[in-house]
Amino acid sequence: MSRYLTPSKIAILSFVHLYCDSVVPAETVIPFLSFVVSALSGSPIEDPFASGTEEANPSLTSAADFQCEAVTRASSIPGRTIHDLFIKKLWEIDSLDALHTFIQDSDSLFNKITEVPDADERNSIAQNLHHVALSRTSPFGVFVRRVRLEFTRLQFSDALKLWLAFTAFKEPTQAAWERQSRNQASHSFDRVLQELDLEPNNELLGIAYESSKSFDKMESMISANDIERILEFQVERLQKLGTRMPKEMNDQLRSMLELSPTTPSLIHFVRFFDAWRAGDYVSSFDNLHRYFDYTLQSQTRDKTHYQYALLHMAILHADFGCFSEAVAAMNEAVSTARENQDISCLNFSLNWLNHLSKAYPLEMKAAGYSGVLGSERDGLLFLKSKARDMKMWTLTSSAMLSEARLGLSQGEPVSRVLEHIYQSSHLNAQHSINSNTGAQLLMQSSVFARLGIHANSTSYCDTLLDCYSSLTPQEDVLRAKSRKAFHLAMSGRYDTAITLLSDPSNQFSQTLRLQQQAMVCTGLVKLMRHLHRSDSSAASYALMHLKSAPLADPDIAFELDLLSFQHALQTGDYTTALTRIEDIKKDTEAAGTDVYQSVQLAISKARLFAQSDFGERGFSIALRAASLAQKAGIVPGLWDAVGVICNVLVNVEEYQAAVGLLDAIIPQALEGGDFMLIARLYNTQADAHMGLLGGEKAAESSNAQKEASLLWKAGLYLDRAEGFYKKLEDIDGMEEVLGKKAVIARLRGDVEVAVNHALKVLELRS
Amino acid sequence: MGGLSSADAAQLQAHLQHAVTACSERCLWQSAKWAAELLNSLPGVSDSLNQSDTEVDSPMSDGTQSTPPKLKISVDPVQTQLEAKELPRYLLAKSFFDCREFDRCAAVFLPGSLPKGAVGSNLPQPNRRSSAGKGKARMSTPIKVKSYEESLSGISHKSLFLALYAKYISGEKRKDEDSEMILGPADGGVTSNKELNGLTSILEGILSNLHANNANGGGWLEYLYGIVLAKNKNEELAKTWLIKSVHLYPYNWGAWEELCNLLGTIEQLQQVTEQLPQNIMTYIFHIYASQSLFQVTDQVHNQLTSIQSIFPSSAFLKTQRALLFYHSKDFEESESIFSELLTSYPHRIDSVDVYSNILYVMSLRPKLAFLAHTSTLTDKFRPETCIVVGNYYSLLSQHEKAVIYFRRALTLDRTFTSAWTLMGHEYVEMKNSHAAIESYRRAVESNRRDYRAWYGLGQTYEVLEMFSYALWYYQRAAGLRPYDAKMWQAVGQCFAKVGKLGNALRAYKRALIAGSFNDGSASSFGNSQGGEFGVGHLGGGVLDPETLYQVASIYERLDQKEESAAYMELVLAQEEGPQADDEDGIFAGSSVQGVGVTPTTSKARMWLARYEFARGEYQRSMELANELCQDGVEVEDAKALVRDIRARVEADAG
Repeated sequence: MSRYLTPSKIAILSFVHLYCDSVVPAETVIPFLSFVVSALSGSPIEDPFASGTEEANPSLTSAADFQCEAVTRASSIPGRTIHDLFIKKLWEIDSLDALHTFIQDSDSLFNKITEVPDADERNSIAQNLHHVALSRTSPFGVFVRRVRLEFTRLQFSDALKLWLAFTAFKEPTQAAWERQSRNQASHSFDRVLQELDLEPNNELLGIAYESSKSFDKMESMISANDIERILEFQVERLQKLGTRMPKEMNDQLRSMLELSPTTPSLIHFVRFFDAWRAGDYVSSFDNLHRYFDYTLQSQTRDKTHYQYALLHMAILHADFGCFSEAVAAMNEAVSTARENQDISCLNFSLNWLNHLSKAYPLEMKAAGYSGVLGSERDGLLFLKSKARDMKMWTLTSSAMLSEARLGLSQGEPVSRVLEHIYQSSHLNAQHSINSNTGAQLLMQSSVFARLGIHANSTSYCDTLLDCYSSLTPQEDVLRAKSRKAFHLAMSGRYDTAITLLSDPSNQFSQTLRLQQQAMVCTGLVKLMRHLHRSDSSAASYALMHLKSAPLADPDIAFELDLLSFQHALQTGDYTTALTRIEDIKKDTEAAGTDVYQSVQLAISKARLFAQSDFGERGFSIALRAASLAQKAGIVPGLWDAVGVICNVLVNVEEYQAAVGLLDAIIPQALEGGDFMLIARLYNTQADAHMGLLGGEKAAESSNAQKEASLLWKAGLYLDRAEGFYKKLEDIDGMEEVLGKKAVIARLRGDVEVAVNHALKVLELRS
Repeated sequence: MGGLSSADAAQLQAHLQHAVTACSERCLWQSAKWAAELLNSLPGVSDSLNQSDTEVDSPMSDGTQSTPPKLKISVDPVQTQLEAKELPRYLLAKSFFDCREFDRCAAVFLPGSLPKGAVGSNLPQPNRRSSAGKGKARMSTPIKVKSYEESLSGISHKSLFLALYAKYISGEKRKDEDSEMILGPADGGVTSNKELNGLTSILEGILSNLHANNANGGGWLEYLYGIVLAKNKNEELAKTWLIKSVHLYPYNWGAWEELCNLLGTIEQLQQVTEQLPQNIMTYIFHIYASQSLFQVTDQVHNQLTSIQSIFPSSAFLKTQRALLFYHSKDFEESESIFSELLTSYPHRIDSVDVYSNILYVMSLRPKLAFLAHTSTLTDKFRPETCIVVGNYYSLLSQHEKAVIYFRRALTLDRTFTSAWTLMGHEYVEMKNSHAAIESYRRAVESNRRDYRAWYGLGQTYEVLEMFSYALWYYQRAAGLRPYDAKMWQAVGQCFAKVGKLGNALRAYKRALIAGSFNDGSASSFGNSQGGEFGVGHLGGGVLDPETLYQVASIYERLDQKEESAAYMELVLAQEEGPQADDEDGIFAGSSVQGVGVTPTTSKARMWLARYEFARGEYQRSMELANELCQDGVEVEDAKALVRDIRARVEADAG
C-alpha cells in the first residue's frame, strides 16, 4: 500500500493537466473545477453537499468512476468531450516509463519565473498564451507538488505496483479509447508489449501483467493517506455526534486495514469510541490505552498527549459510573495540563468537571470532588473569561449555556437567562460552532417551556430535529426527542410519543447508554398512560422496572419520582405518598435544589394535602409554591399552584375567589398544553360554580335565571374537562366529571341523561 | 566441430547429466544450473531422456573416446565404498548446507577447528593477515596438520569437498558480514576470509599426498584448492591447479569460470589454452574467455556459430553472441538477441544487466522500464535486477536513486563488478569524486579487465586536474580496448594537458585510425561524460572532427602551421563526408553522410579564415567568413573579419 499515490490520484493529475491545457470551455470551468476539487478532497463526487451519507468516497477505483456531469460536457476541441480527452490522456501513459515522464513533466504546469526569454522561448510563450499556469501554492499547485514528491519517494517496486494498478484502473475505459483512437491493438496499455509483438500466450506477458491480477486490487487503489483520512473522518463523527460506526463501514474499514502493512494508531482511537458507545467498558479501555501507547511512543517523547489520554479516560470512567476514578483521572489531567501549559486542555477539563458536578452532584461529592473553583458561579465566570482569552469560542459558548442553565435553576430573571443564551447563539453563528447549537436550542426550548409557551418550546425542538440533527451530538437529539415526547404525552398522544422514541431509524439506538435512556423515556410515557388509565397493577409494574433501570439524567429521575408519588396518591396511599415526597425533597436538597423542582414538590405536597382533606395545610404550601413560581417565572408551576389553591378555596367554600382566580388563569393555561392541568382547572371551575349555585340557592333572593346560567356554566366546564380527560384517557377524571355531570342532569331534572352518564361510568369501569 | 554423431551426442548428454548431479551433490548450484541449461539446449534431449537415465549408471555407455575422468572415479572402488559407508552422514551434511548452516555442515566431517596458518606449508603465501592475534593459529604445528590430515583419510572425496567447501563459504559469509556497509569503513580490503589459510594448508597436504600416490581429488578438490589460492592472490599456482581440475573433470563450469577470471590478457589466454585438454568444454571456455577479454574477431564468431550448431537453443551461448556484438558496439544486433532471449526465457535474469546497459546506451527508456518491470516482478532481490533498475533511474537522471539500487546490488553480491563501475559513474554525475574513485577502484580490483572502470578512474582524475594520474588509467583502458577511439582520445587529451605534445599527437592519430575501424566510435557509456559531441552518430569512414581539430590545435602549438591548416581542412571536409575528398584512401567506397555543420567545424572554419587572412589569401578567407555568416555561427566575428578583409583589399587596391 502506497503512502499517498493511487491510480485515482494520477487521474486527478491528468484532469489538472487538461485544465492547464485550456481545453475546458469557459462556461464549464466552474463545474469542472468543483468536480476536480471535490475528487481531490475526497468528498462524494455526485453531490458535494450531501452530508447525509455516512462515509466519504476517497478512492475511486476505476477510471469509469470519473464519468459525471461536469466531465461529459463538450470541450473546446470540437467533437470531443472532456471525458474523451481525459481518456486520451490516460491512454497516452502507455508504459511505465511514460508514467515516470508524465509525473516529471508535471513541473511544466507551474508558471515559470523566466529570465530573458530567447527566441525559442518567446515562440513557446506565444503558443502557450492559452496555457493556464499554476501557482506553486495554489490548491492544484500543492497537489501537483505533493504527487511529484511522493512519486520521487517511491521505490521502484512500489512505482511498479502503482503502474500495474493504473493499468487495471484504466482498463474499463479501453472500449472508449479504442473507439476514439481506432486502435485495435491487443496490448495497447503497454507500448513495449505492442512493440515486442508477442503471441497472446507468451510467458513474458504472464510475468509482466498476469501476476498483477493476483495482487489484491484494493491494495494499490487505496493509499495510507486515504485510510488516515477516513479514520479522521470517523473520529470526528464519533467524537462529535456520539454515534457508532455503521456496520458496513466497520467491515469495509477492517478489510482496508488488512491490506495496510502498518496499522495507523488512529484506528485504536476509533475502536475505543466504538467500544465505548457499545457499552463495552473493558475493550474501550483496552483500546484507549493502546491508542495512547502508540501515539505517545511514535510522536514526541515528552508527555504532550498525556493529559488528553487522562481526559478521555476520565470521561470514559464517568460514563460508566466510576466517578471516583473519573475524578482522580481528571484531577491528574488538570495538573498535567497545568504543568504543560496546555490551556485549552485545562479549560476543557475544568469545564467538564464543572458539568459533571452539576449533573451528578451526589455521586461527585461521594467521589470526593469538591469544587476546584470555589462556588459554581465563580467557576463559570472564570472558565468563561479564560476561554475568551484563549479565543476558544466553543468553550465560551458552552460556558454561557451553563451559566444560563445555572440561572434557570436558581430562579434568576428569565431576561438574564435569555441574554446568556443569545450571547452563546451569537458566538455559535459567528464562529459556526455547530456542536453547540443543539444544546442552545434545547436550552431555549426549556426556557419557553418554563414560560408556559408550549408552541415555542416544541418548535425549538423541531428545529433541532429537522435542521441540526446531523450536526449535533446524538445525546442532544435524544433529549429533544424525549422532550417532544413528553409534550405529546401531556396532550394524550402517547402512541406518537412512543413511536418517536422507538423509531428504528434513530441513530442513538446503536449507542448503549442513549438507548437505555430512550428506553427509560418510553417507559415514563407508558407509566404516565397507565396512571391516567388507573391501571394500578401495570403502573406499579412499570414503576418497578423503571426504578431498576440506570438513570443517567437527573431530570428524568425527578420526573420518575414525581410519577411514583402520583401513583401512590392515586392508589389512595397517602402515607406512602407523603413519605415519598419527603424523601424526594431530601434527595434534591442534598444535590442542590433547582427552583423548578422545589415548586413541583411543593405543589405535589399541597395537592396531597388538598386531596386528603387537610386543605388548610395545603393552602399555605400551595401559596408558597405559587409565589416561588411567580418569582422564578415558572408559569405552568404557577398555574398548577393556583389550581391547587382554588381547589382548597372551593373546599373552604370561597367560591367567588376561586372562580375569579380560575377565570384569570385558564386562558393562559390553555396555551401551556398541559391537558391534565387544564382538565383539573376546568373541573375545579365547575366545582366552584356549583358551589356558587349552592350559595345562590341558599340565599333568599333566589334568581332562577342566574341559577340556570351557573348550572349551565358548570355543565360547560365539566364538558370541557371531560374533553381533556378523554384525550388523556384519564379514567379517574372522567368518572369524576361524569358523576358531576349526572348530578347536574339530575338537578335539571333530566333523569335520562343522568342515567346515561351513570352507565358511561360503569362502562369505563368495566 | 561440426555436427556430432549420435554416439557423441549421447555421450555428451550423459556427461552433462552426470555433471548436474555431481555439482548438486557438492552444492555447486551455479555450475549445476549451467550444465543443466546446456543439457536441455541439446536438440532432442527430451525424447532421449528416458533411455539416457539408464546410461548414466551403466558402464557400457563408455564409448571408444577417452573415458570421462569422473566416471573413472565413480568406478574407484575405494571411494564408492567410502561414500556408501558414510551416506547417512553425507546426507546430514548436505541438508545442513542446504539450510545454509555451513559451520555445522563442515563439523559433520571435519574434526574440531581447522589448523590455521600452517607453518609447515612450503607454499608462498603472500597474504597472511589472519595469523596474527589468534591463539589458535599459534598452536598449529606441522605435526598437527599432518595428524589432522590423517584424521581426514577415512572420508570420501565428495564429503571432504563438501565439508571444506562449507568451511570456505562460511568464511566468505563471515567476511561479507564483517564488511558491513557498502563503501563503509570496514568495506574493502580490511576484512578477509579467515578460513583461507587453514584450507590452503589442508588442501595442500591432501592433494600433494594424493598426487604423490598417483591419485587425485577427482577434479573437485583441485578446483576448491584453485579457488582458495586465487582468493589468496596466489594466481599462478591457482591457475595450474584449476587446469589440473579441468583436466580431471571438465564439466564443472565453475572451474572454467574461475580460470577465466584469472586471465588478464589475451596472451595469457593463449598460454593457458595450450595446457588445456581438447574437448568441447575447452571450446566453450575459449569463446567465453575471448568474449570477456573483448576479443571480437571473426574467428570467435565462427567458433560460436559452430558450437551453437550443437546447442542450438542455449541461452548461455546466445548471451555470449550478444555480448560479442555489444563489445563491438553493434548495439542493434545485440539488443535484438537479448530481446529474443527475454521473450523466450522471460524468467531468466542472468545477464539482464548487460541488456540494460545496451538499452541505456541506446536510450530506449520505455523498454528499459519494461525490463526493470519484468525482472522486478521475477525477483526483486537479484543484483542483476537492481542494476537494471539503477540504470533506469540513471537514465531518468535520478542519480541518488540509481546509487541506492547499485548499492543494493552490491549488498546482495559484493563481487558484482559492473555494479561497482556503474556506481562510480553515478558518483561522477553527482560530483562526488572521492566516492567515484573508490567505486572504480573496487571495480578494477575485482575485475582487472573492466576498461570502463579504468576509463572512469582516468576521467575522475581528469576532473580533479590530476592529469598524469589520469593518463595512467587511460592508458590501462586503451590497453584493454586498443580499437576504441575514445580511449585514445582521452589518452591524447591527457598527454596534451601534461605537455607531451608528440605523444598526444600519436595518441590522437591512433584514435583516428581506431575510429575509422570501428563502425562509429559510439561511446560505451551512453551518458555524455567527457567532451564528445554526438560522435556516436557517425557512420563508418567519417573521421571524428573533434579529434582532427585537436590534432590541428596541437600542430598549432608546435608552430607547424601548414600541418595544422591541413588538419583544419580535414575537419571541414568531414562536413560533407568522405566521398568528396578521399585523401587517405581509407574511406574509399563508403557512402556515408558527413557530420554537417557543428561547433567544431565552425571553429575550424573560423581558424582557417583567420589563417588565410594572416597569409594574405583574402579571397579564400572571405569565402570562409561568408560561409560562417551563412551557417549563422559566430556571425559577429565573421562579419568583423569580412570588414577587415574589405578594408585590407581596398587598402591594397588603393
